[in-house]
Amino acid sequence: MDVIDAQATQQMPTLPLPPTEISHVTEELYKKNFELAEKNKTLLILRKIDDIILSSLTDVQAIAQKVTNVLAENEIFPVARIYLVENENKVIRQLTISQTEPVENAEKTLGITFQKLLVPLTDEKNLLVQAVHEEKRKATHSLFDVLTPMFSEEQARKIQDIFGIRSTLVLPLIARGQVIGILTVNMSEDYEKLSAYDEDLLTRLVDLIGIALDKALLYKEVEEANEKLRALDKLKDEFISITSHELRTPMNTAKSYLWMVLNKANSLPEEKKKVYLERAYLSSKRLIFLVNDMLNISRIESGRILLMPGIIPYEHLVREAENEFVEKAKEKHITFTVNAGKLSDVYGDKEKIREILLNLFSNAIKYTQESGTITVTISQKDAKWIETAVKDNGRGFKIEDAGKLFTKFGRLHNSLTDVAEQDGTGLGLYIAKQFTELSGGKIWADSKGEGKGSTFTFTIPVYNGQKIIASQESAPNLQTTSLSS
Amino acid sequence: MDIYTQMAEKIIEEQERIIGPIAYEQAAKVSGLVVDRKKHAVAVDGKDKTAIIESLVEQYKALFGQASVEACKEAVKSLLPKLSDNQIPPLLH
Repeated sequence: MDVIDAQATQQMPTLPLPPTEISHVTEELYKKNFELAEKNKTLLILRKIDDIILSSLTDVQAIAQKVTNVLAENEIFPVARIYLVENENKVIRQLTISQTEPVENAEKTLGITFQKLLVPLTDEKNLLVQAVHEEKRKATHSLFDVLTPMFSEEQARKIQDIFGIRSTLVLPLIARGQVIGILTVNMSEDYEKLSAYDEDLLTRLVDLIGIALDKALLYKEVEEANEKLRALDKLKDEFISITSHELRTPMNTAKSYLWMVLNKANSLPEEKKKVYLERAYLSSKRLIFLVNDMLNISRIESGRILLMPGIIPYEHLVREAENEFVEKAKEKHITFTVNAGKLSDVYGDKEKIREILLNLFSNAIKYTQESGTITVTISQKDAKWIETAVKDNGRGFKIEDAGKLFTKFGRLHNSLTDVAEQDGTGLGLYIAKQFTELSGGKIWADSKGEGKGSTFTFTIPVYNGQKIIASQESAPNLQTTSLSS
Repeated sequence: MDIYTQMAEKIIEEQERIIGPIAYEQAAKVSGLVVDRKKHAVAVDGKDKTAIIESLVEQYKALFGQASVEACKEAVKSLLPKLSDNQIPPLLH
């Protein structure tokens, strides 16, 4: 054979493959295509979840709803839910359920709702709770295991039939090392038959959904913190505005009267000089009170308040405080009465308790009209507490506003300028509350409504013969050292 | 839409996901199936609809083997419970 023939033989096409071989190759190619298609399906779902995470959506509810709807588009999981773990409320709260036909059918047919479901974190019978505590995936063939105690076993069975599902997977959503939520997916097949692709999808989904939820929760925390900061900033600005006015007013008053005495000494009669000097003196006193209030607030808030506890004959202390307001009450023709039964001595810091009384008496006189009445009733309720109630028939307040009264600058009327006009700092009741609580007691306010007077009541511990009293749950032990965190 | 048309649609869509547009080409060869490739619409037109669906599955099986039958079963598994035993095409049992 010559070379040309040999070359020609080498270039001849091979014989066609037998039909069985072609079928085998085609089938193998088909299987590979199938794998790729499944991976593509997984990637598509993950891509949709990614888009949700990267979107400008920050609302937890909205994000969770979009995610459950994306899951339900994939027929493997006809029903999906996302729950949030609320450790402070000790519950697992359902955020969303996929908005699909089986869910709507179940709600209509059985006359129930799947919205706002709550599972107590103590209910260990529920698989959601187990998943949270064990930080592990759970699975069940019975929907009742995840619906208890919200639905009965019979209801759960009916729901399961309507959903057309055979099993449920419960997957904890973990972020920053803790379980923040739960994803449940209901399946139309047994969970044991989950394909490798669907397993892979679930594993990746759980991570992504955890990130999405965490992002939304963090955003919410930051927003709330910002809101508080904005409110504090506003209060600070108001405080500075009022305080500078408050500081300036008595200083200007003192300055004016002293100027008169100094520069018009020759033309002023002696009685007039005396009046002006007294007024200058009162203005200075008022200035000192204001500065003391501000210093007290600062010490309270930095934990540097010093308590000097001792045994106090309480009625005597109340009468002393009453004397400081006799003149003021007379000026407004207010009837000021103190009623006290037989009382034990109390245990506490005398000056702080005096301060509480002075603030409450001052408040009562400020907000009671001419010819009004103020009644102070002291009673010993039991072996542990003495209760002091300061009741007036003055301005009163709406009961829903009671909580505001004891906050710093918490005012019931439009602005702190109202406080300034009432000759106050807006800090008296806040200080009274802090001192009451430091003494181990409680303070509260009542009123039947605006124009119907009010009653401010506080309790302090009775001296029981021991140096340190274990009084109420939140009461600190009284020590002769500064309190600091 | 009747259940057989739904089954045909789901099977063809699933096959398209795996093998691409030739899924519709192959479906168009099945007697009793009316296929509009552009609109991706399918109609089952014939007396024995069970047999038509069976032929559709067979069409894919002939080319791609048992793997394609499994894909068809997966595609219609949510619909099968709505049919009685003798209404389900044998290949899909």
